Amino acid sequence: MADGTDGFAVKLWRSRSGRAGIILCSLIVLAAFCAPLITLYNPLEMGVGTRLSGPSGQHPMGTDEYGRDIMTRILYGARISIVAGVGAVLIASFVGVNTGMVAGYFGGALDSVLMRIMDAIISFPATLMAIVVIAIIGTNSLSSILAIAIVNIPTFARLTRANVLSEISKGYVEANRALGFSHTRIMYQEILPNVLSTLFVQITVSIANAIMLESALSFLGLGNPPPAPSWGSMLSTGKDYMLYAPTYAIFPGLSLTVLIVGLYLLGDGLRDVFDSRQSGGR
Amino acid sequence: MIPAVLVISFVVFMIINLIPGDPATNLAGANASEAQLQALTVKFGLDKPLLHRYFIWLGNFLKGDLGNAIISDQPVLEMIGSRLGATVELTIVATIFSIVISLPLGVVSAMKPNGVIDRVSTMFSAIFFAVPGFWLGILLILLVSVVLGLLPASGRVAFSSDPIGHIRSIVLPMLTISLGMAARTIRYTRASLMDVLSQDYITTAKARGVPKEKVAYRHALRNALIPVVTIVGLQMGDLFGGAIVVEQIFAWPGIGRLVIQAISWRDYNLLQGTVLYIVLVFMVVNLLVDIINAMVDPRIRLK
Amino acid sequence: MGNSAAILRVCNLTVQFQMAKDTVHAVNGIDFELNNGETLGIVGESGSGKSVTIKSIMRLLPTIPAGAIFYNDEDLLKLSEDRMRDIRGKEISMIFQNPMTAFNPVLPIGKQIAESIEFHEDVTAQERRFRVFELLSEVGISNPEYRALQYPHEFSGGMLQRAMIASSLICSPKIVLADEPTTGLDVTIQAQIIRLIKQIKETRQMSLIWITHDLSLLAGLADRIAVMYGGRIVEQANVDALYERPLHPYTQGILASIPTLSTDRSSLLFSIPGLPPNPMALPQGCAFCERCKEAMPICGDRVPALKESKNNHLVACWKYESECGGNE
Repeated sequence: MADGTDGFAVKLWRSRSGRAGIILCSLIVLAAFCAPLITLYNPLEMGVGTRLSGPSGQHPMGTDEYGRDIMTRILYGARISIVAGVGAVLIASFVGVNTGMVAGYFGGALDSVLMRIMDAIISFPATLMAIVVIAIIGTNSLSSILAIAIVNIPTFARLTRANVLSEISKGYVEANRALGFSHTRIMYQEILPNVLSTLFVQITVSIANAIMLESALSFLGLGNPPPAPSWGSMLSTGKDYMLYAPTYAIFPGLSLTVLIVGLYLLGDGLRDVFDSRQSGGR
Repeated sequence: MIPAVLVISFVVFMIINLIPGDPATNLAGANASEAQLQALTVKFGLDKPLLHRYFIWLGNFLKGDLGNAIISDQPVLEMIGSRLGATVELTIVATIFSIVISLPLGVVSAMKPNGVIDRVSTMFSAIFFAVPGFWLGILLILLVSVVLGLLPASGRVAFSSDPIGHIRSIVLPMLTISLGMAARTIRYTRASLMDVLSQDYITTAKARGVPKEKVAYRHALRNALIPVVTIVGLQMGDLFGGAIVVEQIFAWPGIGRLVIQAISWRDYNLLQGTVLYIVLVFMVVNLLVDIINAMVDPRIRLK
Repeated sequence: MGNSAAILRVCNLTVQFQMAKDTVHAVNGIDFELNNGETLGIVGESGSGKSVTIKSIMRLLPTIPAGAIFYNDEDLLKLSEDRMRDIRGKEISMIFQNPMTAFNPVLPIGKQIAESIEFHEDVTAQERRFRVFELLSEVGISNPEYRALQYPHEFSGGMLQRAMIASSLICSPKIVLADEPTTGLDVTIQAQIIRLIKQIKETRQMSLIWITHDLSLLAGLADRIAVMYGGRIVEQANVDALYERPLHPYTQGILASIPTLSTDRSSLLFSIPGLPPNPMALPQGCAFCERCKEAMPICGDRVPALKESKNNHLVACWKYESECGGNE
């Protein structure tokens, strides 16, 4: 019954990785946004339990150094990670895709200048770049999103540009120009749809990397300032208290891993869907 | 090359000087008087215009002098040098270890797909791909140092003073880095080798009567390893700049840690020097990788 | 029964591949011989099993097929891998279809051509190089000393195929198996390569098997032709006999679809209706039954055997059952 006209979502579901990815990611997103329904505690409320206690009936993941319930903080922390990851990648893809589109389409000096800027960004290792940007704009909830976005822009720019160049070589762009289509129309209505498949796969991968970078940054103390329950900072504190509450550091890391695995699976599933499309279905 | 270096030095200088706060204010502290602050500002040359400062710095750099760190008044070059050893040894050891594990696993996986080794290494690779490096480090510390008490949780012991202690101190940070690298390398090696093995020229070689081992080595492996060399090289370039998070977790006295410290001290000189070093090393390694690629793959040479 | 001048005898060769859920029946019990010094053409569409057949001769498949292939009284399918390696490239060699992908892109051409010598003969590197230059000249590549150091991407398609031919000849094999050597080339280059191979075969007195899907190509080239369909040989005859009086409806169909100078320009080109059989789901009877104008009830039931109709002209078709009569 795979007749090639199945919807995108159906195809994604059929792919084993895609299915697993959708389930995993949905679970976490749901958990994050339905947090108030799942847990009765407030993530910032101190002293709800004995400090640094291990997992128990009342506190399935234990409590932190201020007596806050860890599970609650993990659930609310998911929001931070997800928002940071998705937000940063949305910005990066918006800026990056447009940059790459314009650079590839118009070529010439514009292309050179734009790509040199991208090269400049890429010549810094990602973590370092993000740290320096945050050092410049200060540490608050938005700065890490911005920093991570900047780090990811070149990836999207290069990907889009390469795809645009390949589409142009196929000849239909020339034909469209001959027909009198405007530049904007060609770029966004003709070229862009053909480029979307690789973009979507890249987006899932980039979100996973962005979430990892965000937690690395908050691990270093550069993300959302305390008392925000970001997983990275929880990991950092957990490490410090490792001798007193060994399980503290386990849960934030575990949640991170689960989310990232879900995203990678989703990316694999997307790749399966787009590959099958290219080879004309099963 | 030269223009690139100049541009990079400019970019680095400008970006760092964008960081709010400055060494003079930092050093002076909250209670300094106007005069003291002014004195410090002049001492560090911060009263001159930005561009002017850049050229002074650049001029000195080309003479091999990166200035002195504000916080310690030690030459920046010296401070970098003293930390370089720690970062470089961690990078090299981690890379070697990861290659030693991952290459054989990747090769065997490709030659016997869906076999036992393939399935095990695919699982291994999937796990360590997704596990964030810093969590892995913490888990390792938890398991090996805290629970089992086998290895130190942090710090570096110099090889010259205590070889055994040195090895013990490097194991955990090395593992934290290598396992992630190995995961990637296994995947790439396997994919690349499988692709190569399906190529026509492998059959042609067999048809010429070339023995299986020679086909595997001369035709299959050589070609398959080309993209792997690139990947490993790029990762190394990244690591030579200091694995910032890993060094932080294990209090490993490398360049990464130095950068973090320089930022918190607002030590412009130190920061400029270290970031410049990191970016240049990255660039040089990338260049080397390109050169190696061109040497090994004749199709690239014409470009 | 066998021709005493047969240098290669394929007996009841059957090749199957196991895919995830299905079995691919690539070759289903074929028999043929290659006589010393002759050119045998094997014709068939994609999926007919021709390529798999000659790969079996060289044992280049992942599994060892069933049946027997006799080369000078040795059954190639039963030989040890070492002994087989001795034969590959030295006694029997192969010319591959797509020269662009058949060479390793990162090694110089000369080195690849010399590989057969390297692993079969005990000869100095200098001597090897000399022979490579000699052979490159023989196949029509000028400036061989310079060309031998170049890489595959620096050659044109036609040049590469010449290099491929050189590679297959360098140890002076007795049998050369050519797997559609001209299919990927321009028509003009095709003609050159065909001429080259013919010439070389004369000079070196080799035996040649030429695989193609283009029957017209074999006209001036082959001595005998075997037609394959659905993994079986459906007709086998001397070239003239095949062209003059094709017996099997499939052969007749192929010949009819080749446009000639005298074809009526205003009418549609003839093509055999239908599609080739799926090697994973071969029909019970004759594989051509569905597409055959002259199909009879028995055709759908049982596979016809390859039998001699007249003078060395064999055909596997129920239509000629009475003519063939008796056992082979």
